[in-house]
Parts: sequence; structure tokens; C-alpha cells
Amino acid sequence: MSKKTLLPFVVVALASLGAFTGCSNKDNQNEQISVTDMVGTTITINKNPKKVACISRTTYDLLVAYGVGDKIDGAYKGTLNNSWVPLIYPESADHYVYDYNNSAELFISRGVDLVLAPEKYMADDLNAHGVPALCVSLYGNPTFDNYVTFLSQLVTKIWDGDEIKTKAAAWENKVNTAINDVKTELAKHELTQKKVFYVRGDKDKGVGYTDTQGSFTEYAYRTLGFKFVGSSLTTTNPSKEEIVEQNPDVFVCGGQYQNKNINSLKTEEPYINLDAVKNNKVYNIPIGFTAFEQLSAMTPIFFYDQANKIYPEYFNYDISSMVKSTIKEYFGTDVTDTQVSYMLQGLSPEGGSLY
Amino acid sequence: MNIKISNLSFKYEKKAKETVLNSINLEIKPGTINVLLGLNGCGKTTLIKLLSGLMKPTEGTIEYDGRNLQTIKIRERAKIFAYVPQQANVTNDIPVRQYLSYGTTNTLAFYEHPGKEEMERVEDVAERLHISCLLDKNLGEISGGELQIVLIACSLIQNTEILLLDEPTSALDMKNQNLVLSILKDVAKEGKTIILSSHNPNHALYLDSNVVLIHDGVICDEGPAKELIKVEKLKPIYGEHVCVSRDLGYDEISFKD
Amino acid sequence: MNEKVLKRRTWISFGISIAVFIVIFALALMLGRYRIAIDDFFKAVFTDDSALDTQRSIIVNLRFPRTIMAAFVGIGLSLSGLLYQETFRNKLVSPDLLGVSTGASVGAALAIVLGLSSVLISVFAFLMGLLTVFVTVMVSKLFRNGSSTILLLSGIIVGGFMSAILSVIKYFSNDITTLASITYWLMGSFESADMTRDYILMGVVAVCIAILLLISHPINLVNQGKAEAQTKGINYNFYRGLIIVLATILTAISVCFCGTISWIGLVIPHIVRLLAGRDAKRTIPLCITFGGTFMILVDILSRTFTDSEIPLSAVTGLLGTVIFVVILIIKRRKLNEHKDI
Repeated sequence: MSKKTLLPFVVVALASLGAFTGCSNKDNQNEQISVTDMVGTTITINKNPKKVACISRTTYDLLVAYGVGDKIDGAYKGTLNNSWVPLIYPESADHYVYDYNNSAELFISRGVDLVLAPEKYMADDLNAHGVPALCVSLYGNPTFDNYVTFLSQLVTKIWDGDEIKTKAAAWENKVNTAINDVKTELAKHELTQKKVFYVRGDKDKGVGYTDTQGSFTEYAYRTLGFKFVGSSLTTTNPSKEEIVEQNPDVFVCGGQYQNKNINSLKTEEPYINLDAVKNNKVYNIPIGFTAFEQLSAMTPIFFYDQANKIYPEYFNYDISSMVKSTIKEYFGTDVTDTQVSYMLQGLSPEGGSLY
Repeated sequence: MNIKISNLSFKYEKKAKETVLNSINLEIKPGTINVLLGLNGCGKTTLIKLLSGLMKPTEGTIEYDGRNLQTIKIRERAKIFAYVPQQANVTNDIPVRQYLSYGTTNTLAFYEHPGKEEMERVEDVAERLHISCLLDKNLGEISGGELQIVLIACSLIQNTEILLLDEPTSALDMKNQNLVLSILKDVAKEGKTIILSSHNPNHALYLDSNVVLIHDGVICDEGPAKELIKVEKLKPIYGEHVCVSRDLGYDEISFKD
Repeated sequence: MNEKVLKRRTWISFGISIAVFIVIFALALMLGRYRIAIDDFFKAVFTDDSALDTQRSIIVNLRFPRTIMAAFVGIGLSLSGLLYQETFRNKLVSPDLLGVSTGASVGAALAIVLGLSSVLISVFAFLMGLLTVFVTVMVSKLFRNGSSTILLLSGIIVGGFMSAILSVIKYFSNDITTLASITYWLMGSFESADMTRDYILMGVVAVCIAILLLISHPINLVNQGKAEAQTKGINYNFYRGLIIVLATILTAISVCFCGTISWIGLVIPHIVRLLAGRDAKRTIPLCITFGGTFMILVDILSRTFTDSEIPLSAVTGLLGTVIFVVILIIKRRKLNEHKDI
């Protein structure tokens, strides 16, 4: 094609491009807001986004709990692939099931106006392709201490509305109360610092799969008076020998594979010889709408539950009724006592395994 | 034991138009030297490969001692025929001694390695062909002429009745050609049957052999070298310019015992 | 090179490598992320002291099975590398040449996606490895050309196809449940070692070694090519087939228990040939002792210094490439010496 014949096409193309940008400019008469995400990237987004993609596993729960579930377009399949989710929040059936890595085109084609991404590279890449994305994860730098209420505050910044603000304030208050309650009680006793090993169990990777420095779980168990074994590790996949070498005083097992991992600890060599196993210091972490050890509506209960289990001599909270009322309060769903007891045992609503 | 080739034809593929060998009939008597003469691509190498069993005839049979060659097992065949290829495709990094020891394979069971006795046979033959000094060198370290003699040595170690050699002198200088041919003469005296292909009619004369003239896949003549290697017989194959050295006006260099 | 020199060198190398093997094996039981004092080690092994239950469990249940597995996988991969290199007369060929490893990976991935038990994952991997080689051989027949180059080419084609299938399976698998397991499996590890697996591995490798030692002379002749082997009295096609089958089984059985491990099958045969020349009756025994020792060493390195295990192929790759460069330098020096003559 010669340059002359090409010219009309270029003109038409440029003109249509102008038309498109013109259109979108008209649309963008929304109020805009500048927000900074967890890794310090500041971007400008429309206020009150209508289609949010919750790829980060920690975000779906709180958004639903604060009443902006109808502003969610979809969530990571690991989050949605949990039999508690449809029971507690039936509207989740309308939410699109996203992969971990999604193309910018998918978000654009679905009209997503905000992505909550779990990793910085993902958020950067999406922003570079015109999809507004914020990085919100369960890892802080250097620790999670200053990030516990980060998401909660971010939500109130992005969406207007009194209900959200009230709910957020109430949640933050409860979390701080729970942490203070536990801390104050523990401060009364002279505790020797013990080592806790957290078995992550959200993937089928066995006992040797944990969280490292900077994670929310590290913060939580430090708060509960422990030395978190993962923070001295360089990877999330320690070998069997490394675990035995660490010889933790307590094991806590979370995720949908928790019962499988607890069984491994109690029946398999070389774990059965470990002090924690011999002394029966292997505990589970409940899993409901979200695993309790991820930031969620259940976060205050997570602290109370673990305090109960690890220090039965000091704490005796009524976890079941807390769970029931919290689910009613945030999700408007009634759950039965049996269901709550399954939840506390890391089982499915029917009492089966979650994997 | 004699070899009887009857009605032998060969094509590379069943449907190919080109026949490499076409209805060949030939009888080879024990204890004779037989030189296959002919142009490049006339079918000499094919005939030798068919005799060695590396290729199968398309039609016709090769019989040894009245038995069809196809029915003789590989191991047994290696006790009857030894084969020296035109271009040896051997690995460079093994010592000559080790290579020569492979010649004793036909006397070994599959799980056996050449032992003391076999290695003595290797050394005897090497001494006879004056290559003892090469035994500890690698195949890659010796010259082309030396390699050719090593290959012949290996075939002698096989201790077979019949030796098949595909152009054994083609890559050699005059001295080595002489050496190889005189070795073959010696071997024939022991009563072995030798079948070799060559481009040089003089070699047939020197060996005083039986000659098989092959042209375009057919045998056009056969008989003792002294009768057959004549200008008028060779002209149809090698072209009009063939002559003998007395017609040249100068002396052609050759060799004699 | 003088036969006697080679023979003496082989015996010396064999003796030394057996001694080193025993020492390394003992070290493998003593060393690891979990530190065991030397006197505790002996007490745990030779007494019933219940205070040392943990130590005993680590030694007996973790280190012993995996060290046995490492040794036999090392032997299997080195031998199969040697066999492939000799048969195809190509020194740069490694055990996964005909697609065994990629085929086994596809088998394992399939079994993981289907949610099968770990035993069935190994079975799938093993069978799929064999099947892939079978397909490779069939594809090579399409060319109607019996040459080894064609077989190599078919190996590349079928291997490429299998790795594409693997990518597709990985793409469609669930990243929480199956993808993590597939990735973990592919990285290669001795962590799953237990005595049941060890017995199977030991049995298969032992049978293969026995057959290989019996046919070591035919292996030498197959190395010389079809014309040489056949006219010297060796049924080339039969023995080449048998060697490929044995080499494939050795690779498949290794891969199906511990994933793909690169470099060892390339490097060990080179070292062995450098020492003992190119004669299967010497190279096979040396491959056994050298390969076993090397792999145990790799396993010790992969699990002792970091809190999680370094993937085996990373360690074999690091060691293997360095050793390979050293071999090339030694060989070049040798070539130069010959030039001077």
C-alpha cells in the first residue's frame, strides 16, 4: 500500500480514536480520588467503583461484610471455591470466577473499574494497561503491624456512604479490642516465649508450607506471645528436617487442607516424635467465609479462638456465639449450631472435608 | 565351499524403477581371488553388501554351500564372511587393540569378552601385518593407510573362509596399495576365498585373480584376469581411450613381486 | 592408550569410588538440616535409647530411604546416559533424549489432575515415559530410515509435543490444588522417598544392571554401528532395541519417583570414559559407583544448607556444568599433546 492510499485510513483511525476518548471523557464526570496502595503506589481512580475484581484473597470478605458486595464483579477462584461462601452469601453465585493471573483484556472486556491485586507486579502491569489496580496483600513491609486496618480504611476512602463508615469503624474497633484483650491478659502472666509453626494449608503442599516475615499471621502470633518460626525462614517451603530442627512448641494449621495436615503431623514420621505433637499442642484455625487467619470479618474472633486454644488456662471466650452473631451482623445469614461447630473444626457446612 | 548367486536382483525400494543389480548369476569357487571391476555406481558395492548380509536381495538368492544366505543366522554368517567396508565408520577414541578384539566376537557367547586366547590371536595377526606398534594407539590417531590395514587385520582375526573387501585400496598411496594387495595374495594362498571390488584393472592382473566385469547392474564378462583384462574387452565399459602402457610411449609405474 | 594402563586405572577408580561411596552414604545419614551430634548418631543407630527417637526417626525414616533412592536414581540416570550415548554415538545425548522425561512428566501431571494417589502418580509417570519412547520409535519408522539420527529427530519431535501437552495440562489445572502439586513434582525431589519405593527402584535397577553387565560386549559392538556389529556377528537391531528398552526403563523408573533431574546422565559417562576408555565392561561398573556417589552428594547439598530443599536439577546443573567445562579443558589438553607428536 502506498503512503497516499494509507493516509485516509490513518485519518479515519485517528478520528475514531478521538471520538472514543471523547465519549469516555463524558463518562468520566465522576468524582475522582487519589489513593495509595499497600506498596506505596499512588493512582487516581473513580470514586464509588461499580465493578471491582477481588483477586487478592484478603479483600472479598471485608467488601461483602461492609455491604459493597453488589459492587463486586468477581473474585479469585480460590476465594469462591469454598462451600461456606454460597451458604453465607448466596449472591456470590453472580460473581465472576477469576484466575490468579488474568489478562488486562479480560478486565477491560468485563468493564472492571478497579482491581484489588495481591502482588505489586500485577497491579503495576494492569495500571500500565489502563486498568486501575491497587495492591492489597496479607504481607507488610517490614511487618504487618501498621497494615491491619489498611484495607478497612481504603474501603471507606473509595466508597461514600455512612453504612460503610459505621461498619468499618465498628470492625476496626472490634479488632483493636480483641488484640488489646488478649495482650492485656497475657501481660499479666510471666510467659516464656514459645515457638509456633503455622501450617498454611490453603494449597495441598503438606506440613512444610508456611508464611514468612511480614505476614499477617506472623503479626497475629507475635501478638499472641509467640516467636513465629516462619519469620526466621528464607522460604515458605521448609523441609521436614528443617521443621524437626526448629522443633516448634505449637503447631497451628489453617486452610482447607488443615485436617489432612493435622493428620500428617499426628501419624507420620518424623513429626510424631516432635514435642508439640507428643504434648498435643497441634491446633486448627477455623475456616468459614474466609480462613480465619486472613483479614476478614472474623479477625477479632480469630484472636479469641487461638487464645482460647493455646492458653485454655487464661481464656474462655464463647467462640460459637461470637461466630453466629458476627455472621448475622455482617452477612445477614443465620447459621446453625452444627454448622458453626463444623466451621470451628475446619470442615465444610455438611461436616465433610473442604478439599 | 562355493558361493552360488542365482538370478539376483536388487532395488532400493520395491517400486523403484532403477535396478541396481539385474538378474545376476555367478559362481565363486573356494580358494580364489575374485575382483569385481566396473564403473562407479555399477553395482559392485551393492553386490558385496548383499554377500555380507547387510542388505537383502529384492529377487533371487545367494547360496553358500547350498544354503540360502538369508537363512543363516547373523552370528553364524560372521563365521563364514568377513567384511571390510569402503569407508570404515568406526569410533575414533578406542585403541586399535580393542577394535581388533571385536573381530573375535564370532567365537564368543553374547556374555563373553575377548579373553587371553583371543587377545593372543589379535597380537599374532597384528604382528603378521606389521601393525603391532599401532596396537596401543587410538583409531583416530593413525593414518588412513594404517586404518585400512587395521580393518583388514580385524577381518582376518574373524578367521572366516570368505573375505569381502569393498575397494580396499582406493584411499591408499602406492606403497600401501602394494602392502594391502600382497597381504591379500598371502591370505589367498592359505585357501581363503577373497572377493574384492576395485577400480584398478592392474590390481586384478597383479593378483592373478578371477575377474567379474560389471556394467549397469549386469555381469558382462567373467574369467581369469590375464584373459579378460584386454583393451578390447575394457573399451565398452571404460570408454574409447583405454589403452595399455606399451601404446603410451612411456612406462607406466606399477608394482610387482 | 595402553590397555593395561586403562585396566589399572579402572580398578583404582573403582576401588576409590566404592570407598568414597560408603563414606558419602554414611555422611548422608549424619548430615542434614536437623543437626545430630556424632555420638548421638551412633547411639541412635546402635541403641534403643528412647531419648533419641527423633534422631532415629530422622535417620531411619527420612535420610536412609532418600539416600538409597538418590544412590539408585544416580546409578539409573548415569547408566542410561551412558547407554544412549554409546548407542547413538553422540556424546551430547542425555537420558531424556527419546522423550522419557517429558512423557513421564505428562503422565504424572495427568494423574495429579485426575486426583490419583501418589503410587498411581508414579505408575502413570512410568508408563507414560515408556509409551512416549514407544511413540518416538513408531514415528521414526514413518521415515523408513533406520538411522539413529532419525530416531534422535523423532525424539525431539515427540518430546516437543509432550512438553506442549504438559503446558496445556498445567494451563487448565487448578492453581490451588493441582498446579502446585504438578510444579512441585516437576522440580524433582527425593522427599517422597520411602522403603517401598526404594525396593521397587532397587529391584528394577538391579535387574537392568545384571542384563547390562551380561551384554556389555554387544554394547561395544553396537557402538561401532550397524555394518560393523552385524558383520562381526552381533544382531544389531535386537541389541540396539534391548539397550534402548533398558535405558528407557532406567530413566523412567528414576523420573517416576523423583521427577526430572538433568545433567547427571551427561556428565558421569564423560568422567567415566575419560578414566577408563570406551569399553562397556569398564564403563558400566564405574558409572554405577560414580553415579550413585554423585547423586548422594547432590542430595546432601540440596537439603543441608537451606531451610527448604534446593531443587535437585539446580544442584546437578551447577555441579554438572562446571565439571563439564573441566572435562572439556582436560580433553583439549590431551588433543594438544597428540598434536605435538
